[in-house]
Amino acid sequence: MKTNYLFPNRLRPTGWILLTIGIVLGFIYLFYGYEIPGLEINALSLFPNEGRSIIQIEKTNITDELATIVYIIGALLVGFSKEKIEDEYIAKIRLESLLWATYATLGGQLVGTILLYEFTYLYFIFIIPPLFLLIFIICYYTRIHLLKSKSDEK
Amino acid sequence: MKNNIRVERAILKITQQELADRIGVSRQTINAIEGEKYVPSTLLALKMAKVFNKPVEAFFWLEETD
Repeated sequence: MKTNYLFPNRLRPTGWILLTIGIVLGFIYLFYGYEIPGLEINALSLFPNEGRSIIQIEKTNITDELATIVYIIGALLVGFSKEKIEDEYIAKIRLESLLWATYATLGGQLVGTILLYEFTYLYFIFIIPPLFLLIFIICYYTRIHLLKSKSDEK
Repeated sequence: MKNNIRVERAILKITQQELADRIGVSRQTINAIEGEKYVPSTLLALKMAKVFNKPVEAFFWLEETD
């Protein structure tokens, strides 16, 4: 079976490393306000809140940007790299996991929209896209693990 | 949909792994097909027919509910 648009299996370990770094860095940034010293750069900022220009140069620490980028690349490699033996049943499990992750994330957003307001809601909205990938990964790997352990019993 | 792939395998004396290798899928997929948890594509069914040297209808058949 030809399954396109997936990363090669050998990139998966790299993905796990990046994902772990992204989660740890993102976590300590969000909850402890930690910023890696020396990462202050003059960044290009489009459509800034203040000022009238649409482009602005802003001095900023890029710890959070770094964490986001590393997390997204890691999650994509972990979630969308091929299995050692990739076949149509695996593809079906992957698609079903995506469906469940979509339901779970958007369901969560529905509840959040009703219950959360002001900055809490803003923070919540920030974490929805990365949360979607994480739920998908958990769902997919759980099903693959169950499949392997169940078929080993027989 | 029902199947008796397990019987066909036994006739050829091949394991799930060997059948999986011959048609290019994982052993778990063969296991899921035999357990009737997954209905394979026409492509896989035809590849199995080649291995068993029988028409597809000899080891896959419809149930009344299908």
